[in-house]
Amino acid sequence: MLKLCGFTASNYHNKVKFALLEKNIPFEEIITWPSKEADHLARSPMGKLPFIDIDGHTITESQVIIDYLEDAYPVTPLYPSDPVQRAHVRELIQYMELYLEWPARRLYLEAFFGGKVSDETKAEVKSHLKRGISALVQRLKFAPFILGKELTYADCAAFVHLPTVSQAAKAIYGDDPLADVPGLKEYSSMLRQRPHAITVNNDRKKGMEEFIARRK
Amino acid sequence: MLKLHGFSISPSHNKVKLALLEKGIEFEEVLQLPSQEKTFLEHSPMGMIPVLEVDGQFFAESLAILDYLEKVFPAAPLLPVDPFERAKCREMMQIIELYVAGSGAGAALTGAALFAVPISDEAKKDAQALIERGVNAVARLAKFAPFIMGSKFTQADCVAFPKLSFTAMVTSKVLGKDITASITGLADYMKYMADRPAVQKLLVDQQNAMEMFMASQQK
Repeated sequence: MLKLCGFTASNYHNKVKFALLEKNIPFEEIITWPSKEADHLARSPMGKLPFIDIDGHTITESQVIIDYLEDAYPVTPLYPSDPVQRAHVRELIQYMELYLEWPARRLYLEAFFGGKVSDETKAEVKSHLKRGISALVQRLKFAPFILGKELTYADCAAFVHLPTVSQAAKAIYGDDPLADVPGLKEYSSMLRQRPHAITVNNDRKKGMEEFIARRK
Repeated sequence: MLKLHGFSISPSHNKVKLALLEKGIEFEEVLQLPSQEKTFLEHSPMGMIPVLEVDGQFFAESLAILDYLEKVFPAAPLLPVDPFERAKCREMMQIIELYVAGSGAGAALTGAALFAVPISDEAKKDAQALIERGVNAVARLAKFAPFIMGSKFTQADCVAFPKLSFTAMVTSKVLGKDITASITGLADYMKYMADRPAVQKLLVDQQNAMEMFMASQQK
């Protein structure tokens, strides 16, 4: 059986897990923590999580895993069949990951883990987020899913990344720039109520406590 | 006809252009620099290049474009048929994209190399550490047999050639050391790739664009 190796406090882990659940693919979740040990690097060359393990063969990088799931399990597709719409799904995932979550990560130390981030970093991240959000707004549809009628991988990404970016921004700046995006609140609440989303979020809460305890 | 908007110095532009040339897809190249102009943002919401235009519809992000080309032009495939082998190609592409030519570290070095943007010793050290990790991961996964993921030319070669050449140039210039040089077999691979007609076209166009760019910087 396919094994998903990672930890449930990770957005990238949860994005893949949500997709596996929505696609009804049987899998076993193996809680694995980041490591620079040689045997871990042999399975994940950057030492990153999550990865999937198929009969001892591993695939890393969440976007690569998602593409694999679509190729290997074409039933219950999470990409649109129209190639341009499919490209828009991939484009939007990149926007959320590279231009929202990635810059926002620089705030997490202070937002979530009791550390300190410089004012310079805060100002830089703020301008990155502004650009990323305006790009997002230009593409999103909320009809009712982020890019149209069907649930896609872009929703799996939005489900994990957008709430974290909101929380980090709120903690640092006192207000959340995503709160001004029309329709986002209703969309997020609709997504959160999906049974698989509830499962992922419950596991995440438990995993987050353990993750924070391990950081200390 | 497909229109590829971008410019020939950009490794991301060249990645898509190489795939188009290798697949024998007819396309028109439209000169476009990254821009925050309102009209361009309607086509590429982050203001980035390259952008592909298909019958009046636009989308950005080079990996999304490569994926699109594979779906719409399945002839001359640039990905293996087996889903696991495909995933290994994409894993190599993602590692090069995110860590070797990474958006964070790579961007700081690119600014320093091309636009003489000041860069702190700390930023240099961070960039070097991340790129070295990425380079080690590439070394672990690369096959060079003779292509980067095996006996066939794939999308991973479209990413590896322009991106690794660029990282070699940028790290030599800013860090005084080509970090990619530690990858065993890479130098021969790059030479082998440079003999391909599509790669030669890429290099000629890149050279011309670079001369134009340098002339514009000196004004």
